[in-house]
Amino acid sequence: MDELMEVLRRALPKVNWETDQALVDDGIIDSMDVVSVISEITDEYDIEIPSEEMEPENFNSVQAIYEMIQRLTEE
Amino acid sequence: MSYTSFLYLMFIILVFCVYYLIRPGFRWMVLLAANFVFYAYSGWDNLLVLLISVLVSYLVSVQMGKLHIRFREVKENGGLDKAQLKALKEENRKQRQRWLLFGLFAVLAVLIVVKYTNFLLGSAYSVMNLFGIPHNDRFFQLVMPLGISFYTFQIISYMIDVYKGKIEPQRNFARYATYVSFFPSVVQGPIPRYADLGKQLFEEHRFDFGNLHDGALMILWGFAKKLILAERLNLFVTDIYSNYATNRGILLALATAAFSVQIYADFSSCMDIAGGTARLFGIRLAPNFLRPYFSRTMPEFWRRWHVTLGNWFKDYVFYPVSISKFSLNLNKKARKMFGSEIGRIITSCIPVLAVWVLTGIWHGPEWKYVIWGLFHGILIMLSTIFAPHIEDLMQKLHVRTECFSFHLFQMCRTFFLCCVGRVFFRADSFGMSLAILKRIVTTSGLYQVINGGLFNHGLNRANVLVVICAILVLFTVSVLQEKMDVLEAFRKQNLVFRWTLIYALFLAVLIFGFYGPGYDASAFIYERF
Repeated sequence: MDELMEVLRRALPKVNWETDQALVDDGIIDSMDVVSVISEITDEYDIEIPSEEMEPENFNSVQAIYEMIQRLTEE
Repeated sequence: MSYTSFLYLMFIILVFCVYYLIRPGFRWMVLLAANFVFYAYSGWDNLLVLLISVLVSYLVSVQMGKLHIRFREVKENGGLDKAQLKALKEENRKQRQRWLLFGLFAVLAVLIVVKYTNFLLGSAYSVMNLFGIPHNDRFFQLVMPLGISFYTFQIISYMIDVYKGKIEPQRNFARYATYVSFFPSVVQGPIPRYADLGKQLFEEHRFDFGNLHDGALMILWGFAKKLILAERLNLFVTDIYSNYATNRGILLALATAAFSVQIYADFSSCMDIAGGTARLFGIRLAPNFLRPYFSRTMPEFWRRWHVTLGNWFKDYVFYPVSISKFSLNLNKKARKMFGSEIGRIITSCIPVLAVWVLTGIWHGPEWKYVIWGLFHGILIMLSTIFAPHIEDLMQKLHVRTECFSFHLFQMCRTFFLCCVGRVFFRADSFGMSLAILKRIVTTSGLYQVINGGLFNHGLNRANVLVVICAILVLFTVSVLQEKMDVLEAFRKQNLVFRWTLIYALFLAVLIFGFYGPGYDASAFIYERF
C-alpha cells in the first residue's frame, strides 16, 4: 500500500490520497487525472488495465485502486 | 410529431390513460406501441432504418451474451488450470470482439450512409476540383431518421457494455426495441444507458400522483422555455445573422449572446418535456443539463452541458483511446523525453482532440462543426495545461479566488468563450463565422442600440421586454436549482401558492407563447442531429 501511495503521489502530487474516499465522485480528480494514474500504475506494476475497469468506483480512493491492482495481478 | 405540438399533448394523454389501464406487467408493451406510432409518424422509411439498427444490435448482443455464459460455465465447472483458463478467456474475448466489431460496423454504416454520404461526396468533389479532376455534382436524396445520432450512440453503448459484461443482454426483442425507441428520448436524448433506463422500463409502475404532478409541471416548464423564450430569440438571432454583412458589431455580439441563451432554452426545454413525459410513466431520465452557464471553466461547462453525450464520449472514446497501448507507450516516451508534466500534456492531447473532432462531426456533416469541435478541444487543452500555473500565479499575487466576485468573473469568462464557439455553430459556414467575428471586433455601432435600432430586428419593444422577463425567471429558477431540488421544494409548498404559480405559468404560455394555427414553431435545434 505504501508503495502504491508513493506512485499515486508521483502521478498527482496535489491530491490528498490519505483521506479522500470519493475522488472521482466528488470531482477531485477528472478523467485526465485518471489517465495519469493509470499511466503510472501500468508502468510500475507491469499490468494492463482493461477498459472494463474504467469505473469511478475503481479510482475513488487508494484502497479501491489497490484492490483493482490486486484483482488484475491475480488474473 | 413535434414535442411542442397539440398533437403530441393529445398523444401523451392517450398513452398515459392506456398505460395505467393495462395490468402493470404489460405496461411496457403500451410504451412499445407508442414508440412505434410516434416514430412511424415521421415516416415508415425512418422506422425501417431504426429497426435495421435495432435488429442487428439485438442479434450481436445476444451472441456476445451467450459467449459470456459459456465462459462462466467452463470457469464454474472447474477442471482447467490458471493458464488454460486465461487462454480460454482471451479466446472468448476475441470471439466477442468479432461480434462487437461487426455490430459497430453495421450501425455506424447506417449512420454514415444516411447522414454523411453527401458531406463525404461534397468534400471529395472539392478535392477533385483542387486537382482539376472532372466529376459530376451528384448528391443523393436520403432519408434522415429522427434522432439517428442519438439512438445510434445509445445502441453502441449498449453493445459495448454487453461486450464488457457490464450488463446482461436483453433477450426479448420486443423489450429491447422498447428500450432503443423509447419515444421521449429517441429524438434528442438524453442518451440513456441500459443499466438505468432498461431496468426502469420493465419495472411494474403503479399510478402515482406525484409523478403526474412533476411530469406535467416539467412539460409545462419546457413549453414555456421553448415557446416564450427560445422562439422569440430565434426571430432576433435569425434576422441579425441573415444580414450579418450589414449589421454592426454590437448587434452581432448581442445576437451571438442571444443565440447562446436560445440554444440552452431550446435544448433544455426539450429535455424537460422528454423528462416530464417519461416521469408520467414513472420513469426518470438522466439529467442532461446542470445549469451550464454557471460553470467557471470550460471543462466544467462540458460536464454540465449535454451531460449524457459528454459521458458517452468519456466512456466510449476518451478512456479507450487514453489507455490504449499506443497512448500509454507514447506517454512513457514523452515523459522520458520532456519530463512528467509535459509528457502528460502531450499524451492527453490525442484523446481530447479525438473526442472533440468526433463531437463536432456528431453534430452534423459540415466543416463548421469540425472547427467548432476543435475550438472547444483546444480550449479544454489550454485550460488543463494552464490551470495549475494560473493557480500558482494567483497565490503569488495574493488574489482571492474563493469569493463571489472571482467566481462571477470566471462564469462571465466561460460564457464569453462559449459565445465565441457559438458563432461557428450558428453561422452557415466557417467563412461566415470569421466574417462575423471580424465585424464584432472592427465595427461597434453602439448608436444603433441606443437609438432603438435593437427593436427593428424581429422583436419589437414589447417582445424584448418579454424576453428580458423570461430570462430573469429562467435565471431565478436556475439559481434555486443550484441550491435545492426545486420540484421537491415546490411540492411541499402551500396548495394555493402552488396552483397560483402553475396557472400563472400556464397563462404565460397561452398569452406569450408562439404557437397555434398560422404559426409553425421552429423545430428544436438538436432535432436535426
